[in-house]
Amino acid sequence: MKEAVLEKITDMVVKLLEAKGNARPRVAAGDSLYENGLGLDSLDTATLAAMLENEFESDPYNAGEFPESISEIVDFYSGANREGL
Amino acid sequence: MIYGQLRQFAQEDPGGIFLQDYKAACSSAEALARCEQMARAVRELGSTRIYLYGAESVDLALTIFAADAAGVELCILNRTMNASDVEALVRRLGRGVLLTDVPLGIDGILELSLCELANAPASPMDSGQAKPTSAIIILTTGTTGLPKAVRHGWESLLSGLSRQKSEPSRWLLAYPLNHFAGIQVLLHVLSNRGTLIIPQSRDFDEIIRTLIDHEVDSVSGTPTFWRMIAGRLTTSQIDRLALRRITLGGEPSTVDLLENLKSKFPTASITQVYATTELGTCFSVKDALPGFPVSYLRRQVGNVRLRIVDGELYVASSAKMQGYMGDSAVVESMGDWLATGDLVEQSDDRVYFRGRRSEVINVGGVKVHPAKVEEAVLRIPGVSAARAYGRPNPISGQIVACDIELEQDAGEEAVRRAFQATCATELNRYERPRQLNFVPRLERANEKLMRKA
Repeated sequence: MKEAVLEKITDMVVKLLEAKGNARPRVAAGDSLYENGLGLDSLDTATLAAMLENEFESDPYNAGEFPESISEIVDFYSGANREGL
Repeated sequence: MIYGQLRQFAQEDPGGIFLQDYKAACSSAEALARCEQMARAVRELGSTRIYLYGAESVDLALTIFAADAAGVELCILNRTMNASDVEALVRRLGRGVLLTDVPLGIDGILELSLCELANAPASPMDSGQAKPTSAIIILTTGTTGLPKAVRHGWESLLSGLSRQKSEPSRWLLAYPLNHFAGIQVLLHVLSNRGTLIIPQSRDFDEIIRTLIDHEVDSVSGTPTFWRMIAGRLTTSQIDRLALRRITLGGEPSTVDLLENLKSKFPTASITQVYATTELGTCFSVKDALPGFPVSYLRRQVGNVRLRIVDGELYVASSAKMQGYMGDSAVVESMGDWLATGDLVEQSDDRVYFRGRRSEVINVGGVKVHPAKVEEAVLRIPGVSAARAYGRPNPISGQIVACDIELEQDAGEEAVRRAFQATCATELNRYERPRQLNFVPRLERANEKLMRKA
């Protein structure tokens, strides 16, 4: 379950980076998503939030969180699952 | 006013066919006789206002003239309203008699069937009794929010129309008559002494059949309407058409559509009309290019003046409405200049439309005009209609989303790839839609795409 979510989210981030001409050879779950890591800016993050909402019907940003890495996004969804949502 | 015009028409060319629906043709002389007969019946109702609820037909059109001849105010309702919508509107605007082609049976509202009115016993009409108070109330399209009731005097609506010296034309009624553009087409045909051809429905196949069978030479429609026509007409159908005059209005036209119309109808003239329900017809452009020449801002066109204030088009016009009808039915007063709500951008010697002020999408503080996004998306082969809008976003406030309607044989994957390429080259990164949805059919109101409120 958690692996499938991880794969989906990694895929989203890879696509985002490709779209802005910033393809990376490797995207790790622990990489920082922003300036000091993969380099997503606010518009990329906005897009990621929309993609997550489309896929999972909720997203951490809308819930008031600001995940630093792919792992933290995965945690958000596994947390939601634990609460039975 | 329009009754007087009909009388002139009947004097000049009594046998000329003025109205034609799928059932019958009606000459100007017959139209006058029937209008006077109906006016007598309307007067006997003793009401100063009538509400008209019916499908487009010769009788419906004649009732409009009869109301003017009887000196009563007329409000044409949208035929898609249900009984409770009608009731709410009549309560809001004030009492009147309801003329309808189906029984609505609303408590406290006197109703008369249109058929009964059309067949009222003939009796002589005293001319010259028409009061100058006759007016028309038109409900706005309402692609966002509640429709507003706009009151116009017939005189100012007619003043914008010049008597055409050209041959009388055969116009298709592609708009409903409760719509401002439908009334404009009716008045244009009246002053041109032409023929108005009323299709049985506005289904595509019915429209095509009517165009061919009745040798229609002039059609006024929205860009959305023309996109459907140009996209679906077969070559053999085009060969059987007698189109000489193409008129577009109601929404800005895009380059792809104008080019498509030029190539499919090389001998037809293409006129883009800028009109609003509140302001009447303001100006037209005949060069089949998007937008309008900057020179229009410097000169007075008829009784219309234009200017740009803070990126928005303002118009001063003598053909403007008398006012909105509010809850207390009091007409609000206004200054000379009216904001149109249309955002424009000047580039060299042209002014381009950039969408409605209320539709601007704010992406992280950057303003994005849906019209620009839609124009880029519409150039992608396989896309038949597109609507860009703002979607709420926790990071940037809004992001751009886009709904796309595909042509029948287009594939989603090919369009998705072309979409990425087009967006990357033609739109800046704030403007690029971040969400793409393929929909079977975009919602339309009066053949304009519906805006999400």
